[in-house]
Amino acid sequence: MKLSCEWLREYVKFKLSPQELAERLTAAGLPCEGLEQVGDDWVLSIEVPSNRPDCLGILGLAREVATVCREALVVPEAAPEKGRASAGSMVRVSVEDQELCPRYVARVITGVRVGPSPEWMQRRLAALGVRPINNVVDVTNYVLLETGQPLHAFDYEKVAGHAVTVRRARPKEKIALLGGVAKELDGADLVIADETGPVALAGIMGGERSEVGPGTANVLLESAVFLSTAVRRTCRRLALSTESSYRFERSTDWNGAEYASRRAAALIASLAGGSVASGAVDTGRETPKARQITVRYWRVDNLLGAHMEKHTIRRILLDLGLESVYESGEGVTFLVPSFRPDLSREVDLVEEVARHFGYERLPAATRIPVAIARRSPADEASAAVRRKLAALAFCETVTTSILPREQGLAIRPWRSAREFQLTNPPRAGQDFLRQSLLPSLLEVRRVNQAARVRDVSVFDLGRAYLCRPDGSVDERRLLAALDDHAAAAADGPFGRLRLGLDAVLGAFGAGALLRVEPGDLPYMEPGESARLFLGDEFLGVMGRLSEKLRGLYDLRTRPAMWEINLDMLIARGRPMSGLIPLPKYPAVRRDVALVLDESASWSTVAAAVAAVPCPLRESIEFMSVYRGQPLEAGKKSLAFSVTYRSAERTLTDEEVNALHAELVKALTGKLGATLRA
Amino acid sequence: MSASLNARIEEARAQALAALSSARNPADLEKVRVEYLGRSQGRLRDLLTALKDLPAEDRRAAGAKINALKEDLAGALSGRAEQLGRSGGSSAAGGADLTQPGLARQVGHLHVISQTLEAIKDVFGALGFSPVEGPEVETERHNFDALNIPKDHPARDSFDTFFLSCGLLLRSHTSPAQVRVMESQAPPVRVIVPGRVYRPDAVDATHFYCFHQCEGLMVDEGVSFSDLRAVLTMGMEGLLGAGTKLRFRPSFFPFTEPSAEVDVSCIFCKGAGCKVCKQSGWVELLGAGLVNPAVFEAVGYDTERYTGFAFGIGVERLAMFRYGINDIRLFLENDVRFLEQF
Repeated sequence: MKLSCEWLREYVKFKLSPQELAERLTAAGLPCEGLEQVGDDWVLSIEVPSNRPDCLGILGLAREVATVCREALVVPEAAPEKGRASAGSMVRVSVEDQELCPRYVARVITGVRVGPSPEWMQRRLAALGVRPINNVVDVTNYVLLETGQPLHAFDYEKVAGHAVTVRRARPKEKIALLGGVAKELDGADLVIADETGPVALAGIMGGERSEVGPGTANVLLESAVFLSTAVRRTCRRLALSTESSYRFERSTDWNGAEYASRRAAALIASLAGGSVASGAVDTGRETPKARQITVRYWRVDNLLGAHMEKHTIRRILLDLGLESVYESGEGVTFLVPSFRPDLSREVDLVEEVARHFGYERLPAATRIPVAIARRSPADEASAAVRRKLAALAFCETVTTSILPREQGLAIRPWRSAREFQLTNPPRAGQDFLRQSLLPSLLEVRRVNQAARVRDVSVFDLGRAYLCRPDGSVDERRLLAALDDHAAAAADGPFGRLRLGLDAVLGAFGAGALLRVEPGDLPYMEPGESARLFLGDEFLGVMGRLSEKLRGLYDLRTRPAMWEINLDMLIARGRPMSGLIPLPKYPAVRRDVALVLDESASWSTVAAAVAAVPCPLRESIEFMSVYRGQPLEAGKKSLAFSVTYRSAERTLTDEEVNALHAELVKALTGKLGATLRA
Repeated sequence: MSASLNARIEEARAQALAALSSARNPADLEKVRVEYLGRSQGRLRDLLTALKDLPAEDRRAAGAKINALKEDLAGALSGRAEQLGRSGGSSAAGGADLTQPGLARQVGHLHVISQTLEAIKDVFGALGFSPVEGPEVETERHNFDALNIPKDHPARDSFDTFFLSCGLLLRSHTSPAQVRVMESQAPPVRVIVPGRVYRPDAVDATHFYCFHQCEGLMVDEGVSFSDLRAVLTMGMEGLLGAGTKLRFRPSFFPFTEPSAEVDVSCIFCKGAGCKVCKQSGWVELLGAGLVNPAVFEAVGYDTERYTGFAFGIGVERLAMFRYGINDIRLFLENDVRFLEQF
């Protein structure tokens, strides 16, 4: 809402500079977003909150300024001289839908001379960005800006039968609006119609047919109340927004409709000549009862945490136009004016007091009871997992949950009874609520490929949106990691990922339960794809992106990745492992390199080791894998180290050698392996 | 074999290898050679001499060990000599090159949003606020109705929302979690709700359709606007540094009354005016207010007995402010060169 300082002075004699005015209004909850000099005048742009329709008129803002400056508010006269004819004899109004149009006030002004409006009015309109048209139309716009009540002037002679009906549009009924825009209507839209059809789209825009022009002699002036939700629906559907509809959407003042009608009629008569027919046709039945709200003094103090003087509370609320109807030592009962639909409870009045007293003058508390904050196991586990993966050189990503449909559909490791689709997606085709983090990580890979970042190790801890068989939403916390390095690593394309996975599982004491079951997944490359289990429970997937899908994600490489169900791990809990006593005696390490068939996996080797019982063997650790000369094709050399330790003494070389020889012998026998020279 | 001689052999091996690796020039190497392999007074010679004190059956094994050590040391000596020769001048001059940088190693990083959320949890945790979560796929009731945002009302305009074909929606703010918390627990309540929210905003440097908020809620008997001021002032000081100032401006949110927009003094110019704060000295970071009794009614709290406050922090906004980031799109783009800076 634009506010001209010159115009404002007509209603309140304030002594502030435009800059001070801007600051004071901002501090009172009417933020000034711009201040601009227009000729001798200053124009403020006020961002009016959606609950303050009264401030969409300069008079409403003037009331705020008057309260801020403690000056009197001057409301302009609105008493047109009564002509001989009566409005009631000149125009008939029937309202078919009282709910959508609870009040319609019609006045008739006869014998006007349409021409340019006076310079002062043109200047004020222009300052607020409204183009002057002619004296009649300008008055309707002027009064709209002044009071916030939208008005419409029809050429009385072009309204067939001098009768208007406020009714819902017929299906597919058409209207030609001002400016030549034609719209097709439906039964939810409200129109003003004469015998031949619609002459205006109620509360939004007048029709071309009944427009006031140079030839107009008699004017039918409409000032009505239209239901905000109905105006809003029609505006949304037809993609229209006007000064008028903007105000109706925020609801207008019941009494303001009648006042604005008188005000505009008087102005038209004084600027365009003519005579105002006496009285008005007013369809408003019962004036809504004014609300009464009692504000209790102790409650003000209780809510604001500060003591407010009684006279301050009274003064502010009276200045804002409330009327005191009952006072006691406990508080005051006020009558709320009809232009303040936002005031419905005691707390609303407390806000008015706080706002005009000044938020900045309210103190900060010095005593707040102490309380202990607790983090949920899920939150703590998530933080721990993040730290683990970051410590292993993975970068955390945060990715959007809304995916291009095709990408989201291609990778779905988790069962979901249905998918969630956005009806109003951010981009065409990007309407899929993700069911896996892997497409998100592949997008991260793509972004970095475009940025020419060669090596990427990333993880994401986020939600996937799955649907349970009963239809309820399962926002599952997943953890996924992706690794893509240009140079081959000694531990292969999955080495780094496995390190991360084992660290995560270790945090839940579940490292030993992991089972990796090779098997084809539709989005991973055959032979480089596995399902992960924790005992018998499905934990997730691991593999390298299939050649087939590489193009879909616009990648030149095929990253390795895994995704696991973090909620499942969190549900297991994180065991508080007591301290494992530090070993007293040294460990002895022996390395082995076995030449094996390609098909022999690490897990077979590890199982074979485990099958040789030895209480002094502490652990085995992967070292490297080698393929190529001088090994035969189809063979690989797998090197690992075995650690032996006793809790009671230092082991001698001899006994370790014996234990180790026994192990190696068992392994070569069982695995059909040879010891690498 | 005698344990003590065996230990002496191993000790000599370890010490000789250590001396070799710290040798910097041929003179150092010669010193090591003389000390261990010297014909008349070398330590290996001493060990060989000690053989005669062993029982005859142990001598052979021990002798073999000493000979192996001798060979190993000779090999290590020539190896080290070759190494020193290769690395040339600087080593010959003595000392290590302390100006030489290390080889780059990959390091992991937590996302700046994660770090910011952790900071918020830390600071508000110290003030007694427990973090809780709420669903992102929400109902109209939780996202709007229970928060006093009526249907077909312009108040909904500021909460433009993504709708799902199943009739649910993606929450457009973290406030619905307020409702869920109050539905499930009686006062007192002191929680924060960090999380992801969605709005169909046109994407630009300050808008993205998916971002993060952190909601705060405190409800008890006698919780007042001055408590809100105190908690937010301490919270922002915790996040942005001592001396950070707050400015409360009246505003409108359907779920709070009175409502406030809260500006924070610019940490870059200390309020003098700069590019970050658009010369105003202030940056808008929060929305806050006392919980509207209409919300208490929706969750069945006694509006006469309990009062409370709520606030919402824009997490990206806070992070942009804390780190001088000028484009919100950087957060979800995940360019590793961005991630690595935090």
